[in-house]
Amino acid sequence: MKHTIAHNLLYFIGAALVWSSCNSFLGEDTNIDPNRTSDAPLNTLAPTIMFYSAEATQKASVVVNSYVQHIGSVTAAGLDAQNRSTFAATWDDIYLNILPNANEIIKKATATNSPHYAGIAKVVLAYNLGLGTSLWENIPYSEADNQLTNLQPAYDPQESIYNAILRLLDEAIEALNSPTTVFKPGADDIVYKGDIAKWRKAAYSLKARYLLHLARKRGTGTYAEILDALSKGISSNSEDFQLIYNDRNLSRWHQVALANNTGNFTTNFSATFINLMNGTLQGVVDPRLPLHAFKTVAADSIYYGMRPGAATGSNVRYNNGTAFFGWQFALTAPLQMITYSECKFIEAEARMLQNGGSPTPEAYAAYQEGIRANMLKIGVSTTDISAFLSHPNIDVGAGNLTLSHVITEKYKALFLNPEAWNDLRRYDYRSDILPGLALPENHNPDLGGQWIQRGHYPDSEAARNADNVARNTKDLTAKMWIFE
Amino acid sequence: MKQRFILLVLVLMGWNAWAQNLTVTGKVTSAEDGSPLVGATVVVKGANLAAFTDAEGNFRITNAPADGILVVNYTGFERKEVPINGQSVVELALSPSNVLQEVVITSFGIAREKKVLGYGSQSLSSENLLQSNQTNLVNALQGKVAGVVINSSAGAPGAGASINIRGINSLSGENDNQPLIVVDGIIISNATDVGNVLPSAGSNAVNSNEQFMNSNRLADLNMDDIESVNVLKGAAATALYGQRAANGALIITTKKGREGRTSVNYNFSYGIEDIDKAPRIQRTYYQGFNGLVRTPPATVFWQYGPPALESDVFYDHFREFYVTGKNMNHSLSFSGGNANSTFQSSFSYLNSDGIVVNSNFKRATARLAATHRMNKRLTVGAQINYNNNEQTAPPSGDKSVFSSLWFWSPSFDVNDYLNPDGSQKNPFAGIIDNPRYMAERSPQVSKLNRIFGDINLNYDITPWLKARYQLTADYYNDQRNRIVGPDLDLGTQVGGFIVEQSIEFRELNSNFFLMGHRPITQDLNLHFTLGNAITEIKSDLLGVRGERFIAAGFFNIRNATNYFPLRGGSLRRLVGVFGEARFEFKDFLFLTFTGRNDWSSTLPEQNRSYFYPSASLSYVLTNHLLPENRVLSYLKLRGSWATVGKDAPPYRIGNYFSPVPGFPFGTVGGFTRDNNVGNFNLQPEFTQETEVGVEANLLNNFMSIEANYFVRESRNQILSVPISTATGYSSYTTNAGVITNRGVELLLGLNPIRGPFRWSIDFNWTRIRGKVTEMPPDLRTITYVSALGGRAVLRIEEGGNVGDLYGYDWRRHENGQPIIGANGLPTLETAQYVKVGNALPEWLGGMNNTFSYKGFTFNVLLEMRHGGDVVDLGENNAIRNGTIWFTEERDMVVRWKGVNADGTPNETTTILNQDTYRAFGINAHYSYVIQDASWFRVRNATLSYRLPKSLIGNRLSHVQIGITGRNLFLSTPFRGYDPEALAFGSGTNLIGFTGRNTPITRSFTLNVSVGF
Repeated sequence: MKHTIAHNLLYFIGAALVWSSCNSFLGEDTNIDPNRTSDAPLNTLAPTIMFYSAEATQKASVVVNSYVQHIGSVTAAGLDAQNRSTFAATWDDIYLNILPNANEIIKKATATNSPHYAGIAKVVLAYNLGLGTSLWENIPYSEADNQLTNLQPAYDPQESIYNAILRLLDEAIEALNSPTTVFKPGADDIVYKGDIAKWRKAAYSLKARYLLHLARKRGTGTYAEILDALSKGISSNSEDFQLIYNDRNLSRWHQVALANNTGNFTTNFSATFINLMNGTLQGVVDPRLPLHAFKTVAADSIYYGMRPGAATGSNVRYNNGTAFFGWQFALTAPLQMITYSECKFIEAEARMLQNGGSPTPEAYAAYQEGIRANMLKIGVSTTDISAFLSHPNIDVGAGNLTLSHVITEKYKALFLNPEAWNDLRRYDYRSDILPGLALPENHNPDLGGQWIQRGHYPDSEAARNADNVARNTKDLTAKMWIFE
Repeated sequence: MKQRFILLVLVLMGWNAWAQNLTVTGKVTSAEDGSPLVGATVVVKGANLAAFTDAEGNFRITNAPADGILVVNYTGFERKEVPINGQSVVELALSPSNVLQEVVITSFGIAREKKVLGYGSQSLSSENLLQSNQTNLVNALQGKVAGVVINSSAGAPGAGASINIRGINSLSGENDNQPLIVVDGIIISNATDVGNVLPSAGSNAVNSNEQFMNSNRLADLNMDDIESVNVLKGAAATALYGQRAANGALIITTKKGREGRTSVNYNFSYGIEDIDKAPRIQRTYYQGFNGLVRTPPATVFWQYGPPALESDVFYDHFREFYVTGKNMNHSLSFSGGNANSTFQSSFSYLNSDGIVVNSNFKRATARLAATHRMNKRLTVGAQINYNNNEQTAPPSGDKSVFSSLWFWSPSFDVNDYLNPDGSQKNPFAGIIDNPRYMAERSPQVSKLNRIFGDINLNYDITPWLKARYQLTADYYNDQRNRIVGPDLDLGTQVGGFIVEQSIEFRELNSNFFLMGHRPITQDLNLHFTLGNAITEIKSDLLGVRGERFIAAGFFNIRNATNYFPLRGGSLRRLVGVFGEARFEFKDFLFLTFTGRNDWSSTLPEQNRSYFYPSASLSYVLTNHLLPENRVLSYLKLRGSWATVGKDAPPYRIGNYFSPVPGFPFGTVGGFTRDNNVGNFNLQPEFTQETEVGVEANLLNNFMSIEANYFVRESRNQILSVPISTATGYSSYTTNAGVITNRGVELLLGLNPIRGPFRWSIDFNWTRIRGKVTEMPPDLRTITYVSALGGRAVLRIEEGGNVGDLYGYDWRRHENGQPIIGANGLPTLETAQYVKVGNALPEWLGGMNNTFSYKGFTFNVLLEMRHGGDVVDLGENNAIRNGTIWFTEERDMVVRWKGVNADGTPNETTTILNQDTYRAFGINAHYSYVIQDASWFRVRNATLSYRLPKSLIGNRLSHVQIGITGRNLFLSTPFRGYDPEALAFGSGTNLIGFTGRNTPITRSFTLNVSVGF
């Protein structure tokens, strides 16, 4: 008995000592998380960057489209009063969720000779750099996602960002032109379902968009480049660069509308947008209006939006609490990044600017096609489209087309698309370009009566990358390089 | 020389065998009045034979050497040594001692005389802990221990409570800085498991930990099983435990069986609890908006209607929502033993209904602990504890019972919550839920099974050398279920959801020690310990969230459309080797050195091994330079210095890819690179602590004093340092930053009245300041929490203190005055935060009074917390909706004190109205958001009566009845409910927020205890 106990005790002690000396007890797989992977294949990263592009866009547009008076805050002196925003959520999506995964795709695709994946990643990356620079001007890229070689990445000047965008798009086009690719995007491509031709078109269309921004810097020769890119770009609504959500993954705009049902009102239509639709400014009611907005007072004959910055004066909602959802707020609504309709307006503007600002028949056709495309997309009947397009205030005739007509219709088609801010800033927020545009009530006193031109860098950057923030921070009313 | 040494060892080892042995029995009594002393220890000197005296003061020792010496110890009495001289019956009468020679249980259950310790620790007896009638040990420590800050998370039954010893030592808000919990040498988990209870869309909550006030696992212990708790505060005290006890340790000793008669104890308690402090509702204005009553279909939600009429009914929902809670506890224990074996077994059952309907905590525990002396040298012990809990917790935090309650209009009865068809009755449908309906329908139910226990072997190798081996295990499984119907706000976006989670935890420890003592010279003795500890901790979470119910009303995981898997877990292993050497010079100088080397699985291989030492000195002056005298009966000075190394949490090295939250997108899955990356050269972090203290006893026990001062510096912290997200990561796990905690702990004991009527007082006082002495390079701030849309922020900055709260101030003119705008109101400066408070108290004090006379004992514990600011997360809702009393100030013309933009005094007036309260202005200014939450309270008062022996006869050993009142009085400038309830649950450093969880209660408990 005594012996057995002593023996057992020794055995325990011995086992414990052997256990501890054995390296496998502490090493090898012990400190590797079994619930995460150190390697994600291409087809799991591609949907990620597409998803986050849509997310980043929506998070930006909550603010941007308040600045441009598509929508406004339901509390007075909100974002539509042009209060500062840091666009922190968009920043984080770009730098944490898109850039690292896109770079990972490019690296893996290059290693496995799968240029189609590399091409897609570069299109997405170029788009997001375009989104980012439109919010903050100078942003990190050349030193971003740097494997921790530098904990305070420098911000590249906007000009370099635009160069990077164009370079990425050219490289994307080349990669997407490649006849062979080892790994092929398919169902994992949640935007185009593996249709590489559409990605190539999206790349050309984005190139046209960013060249249009640059045209004033690069000179009039740029318009030919734009038209050339457009000719290879998106050529129908079915080729739009957009993401369609589903009932498992709700689109953020749908969530905004649903939140209205739980008392969490955040934003509503702005009068500036509604007045361009309800006949006030154009003398013709836009048939898209009842598809966008719900009129809360049935007896009212006219839709009213909220006075910018005032949070009052509206009889509209995004949804009615039951069946009706405004087109952009429906469960199945796409989150649009660049569309056929926008391309037609780019064409109309480029052709006019190429012609010294004067209309051309091609510009006029593009203007009409831009309107028609957007109306078809939203579900306006062909009868209503014809009626609207033939209204004298819209069908002004090829010779009478002005940039204001183009930008106004583009502004309507770009509802909730942050690209609208670039247009307004390119034209200095001129109300002779966009009728009805005026500084909001309760206008942010820091702006001294000037229009807002940019976002602030996120607080996280101010805390963690302070020197670069200090070097690049400008007044909210200071124009970006691209708009100078 | 060598041969002589071996001979010496043989002689010492064989000494026992040569002596003649006999059985000694006897009785230990008090020399003062001849009454038996129960539970005194009788030891045969040098022979490792011991016995406790039974209820009659009798003891029995077998195999005692005829020429041995009996040493008798009893707390409060002089130690006595009596030679056996071959007698088989020895009577021992002890005289009361002037000085309490306390014995405390230190690391690994090693008992030490307090005088030898070079560090501070504080011991609490069972009696002391049971005074407050708490069911959670952490709460039972409230107000009694210096150097300790305790926070409850809520007044809900089973809600977690957190304990911090000597400050918050981490720069991270999510870190758990709580002490190690050891029960009879068994390390048990005190985790607060949060899990993941949020839907994929529709919640504003940043994390799950404010959604339910989950139990901390120390709540599983049956309080009646606890004999004593020793709080080891500093790094020197916990040096042997090393990193696991870097934040201190609670050394819990349970009740043991003793040789002699089998005793049976039964305790019963029944208590009621009620809402204590509640904010006042606003009764001057009726429901409505812009001064007009609203009737559906217009939205009725705000309390900004016309002045109330005599006939208008108001419901005080801040109180009326709550019901009377009831709780009942049965606990039965058996213990006994003979010369060779002892056992203790207990069963308990607690059933507690909270003050929120449908909130409940049930706990059943069972336990068996036994020891058996196999032979003269070998003793085996084992214990097993089983728990079965069920916690039904009300939703708290964002979109919860409580956030809705704050919004609710007092013009409607919150308890009228059902329509005739059984659906939710809610005048504010589409805005908030009816809180009563939500409490009834949407709690989280957690069902826990837990087993912990050990097997231990003690072997006396020689009279001066002992070996001990202990294998311990702690295992639990927590099955959680949360249901949110599509008719609740939180469920509307996703069509309702259900979360099922299984949380599993397992910890194994293997500890081996050698303990011995040897004289070096006549005056110098060496006591030493060598040990090895091996630890494995494994946790797992497996769960699934189902969204969009298909069949209405069938809330089952199988009835969902979209499924989201939840999976997590970790494994951590640690091997340690440690030693302690204590040199005792005569009986006044005690010098202890320790060293420990750990090998951790969570650090890179090259940095896996790390060593850390400690040294401490105790000098008892009254045994040396200043002999005991009438004024000074005891004086001890002590000092210690210790370093503790610490490893990283598991899996913090390198980088991973995880599934995108919410994916698959439709049917397409995706991964994203994690935002955290870990340094491949991660080093262990080190905490260094220096402590000095004094212990004194004056005027023949009239007064005892203990004072400590400590400086604790945690440097090279393993920290997820926030970095510029432009790097592609949001945080980088590396070594950075320094936090320095400095503190003073004072204990003062007084015995103003002695004799048949006794009055004793224990004071404790604590002041701790945690300073951020060094931030990670190039980092200005680390934000722990940003709450209420940025209105209140808990964050740290270099040079600041841990717990600093920041808020918005008015835009101010150069002359310091607020700038008043054209509307007559000041505007907020939102571009920068100002530091406006600190969530940690400036000091804490407790005063525990005990009065006793014959069988009566009256105990009252007063507690004070000075300073400590708190943000009421709920009140903001009430301000915006005009439901709280101070929004009555409306329709009045005021001229705001301030200046115009040019600095001239403001002349513009404004009318206080709903816009004033609703707009992002007043309700966002720090003076409204951040409140002083100092308090003074009568924590508990207990009156008990122990029936005299003459009344209960011989069958019963004791009968005691008592009544306890808790939180009988509270005085605080804080406007809301009792500010003690922490919004973010236990188990984090996220302090300073309250208001969206079950308020702390006031309770009365009747207690009956019978012993056979």
